[in-house]
Amino acid sequence: MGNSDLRKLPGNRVKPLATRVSLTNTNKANGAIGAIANPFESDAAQWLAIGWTRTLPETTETLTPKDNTHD
Amino acid sequence: MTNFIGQTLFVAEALPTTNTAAAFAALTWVRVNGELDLFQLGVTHSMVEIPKLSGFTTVDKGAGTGSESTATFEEVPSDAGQEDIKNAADGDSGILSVKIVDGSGAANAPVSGDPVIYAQGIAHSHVPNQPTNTTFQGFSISFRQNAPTIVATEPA
Repeated sequence: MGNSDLRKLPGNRVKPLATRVSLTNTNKANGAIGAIANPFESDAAQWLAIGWTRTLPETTETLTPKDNTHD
Repeated sequence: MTNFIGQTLFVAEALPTTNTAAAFAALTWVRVNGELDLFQLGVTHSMVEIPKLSGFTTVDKGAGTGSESTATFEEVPSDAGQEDIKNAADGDSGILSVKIVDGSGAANAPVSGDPVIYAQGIAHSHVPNQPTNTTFQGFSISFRQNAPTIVATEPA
C-alpha cells in the first residue's frame, strides 16, 4: 500500500507540513538591516517582537500615466 | 578517529531570537569559501577559589566565557560569504552567527541530518595577510562567542 493509499483511509489524517515565513530585520541590534530569516510561522511572533518584519512580496505591477492622475 | 577535513563554514549577519537550533536554522546562511582553518568554538569557565584556613583551597565553578579564536582564509574574489564575514568584522557591531557543517553532499554541501555546530557572537579584527614572497593573499578574522555552542543537525 503506497502513501497515497494511506492518505485515503478514513480517519487517517495527514499532518500538515509546518510552514516557514520570510522576515526582514529592521533593528540593527539583531544584526545587519535587511537580513532575512525564515522561521516557522509558529515561531514568528518572537521574531516580530524584536524588530523583524514580514518580508513584503515583490510586485511587478507598474503604474501607467492614467493611474497617476487624479480626477 | 575522525579529522576535520571537509568541514565548512557558513555565516549569517544576524542573531537568532533564542540560542536554539530552531532559531539558528531560521537564519539565512551563506557559505564562506577559502577557509584554511575554522573558529574554535566552546566555553571556558573561571574558578572561584575558597582559600580555607584548613590549609586547602577548594574551588566553586565560576562564570562561563565564550571562546575567542581566529580563522584564516585564502582570498576568493566575489565570494559572498567572505564579503559577509568581512562586513561583520569591519562593521560597528560585529554581530555574526556561524555554522560549521560536516557536510556529506557533493563538495561537502550540507545535507539534511548532517552534524552542525551553531554559535553567535562578535566578529572583529579583520587582518589581511602580510605581503611577502612566502605568503598568499588572504586574511584572518577573529570571533568571540557570546553564548554557548549549539550542537545540532542540518534541518530538512
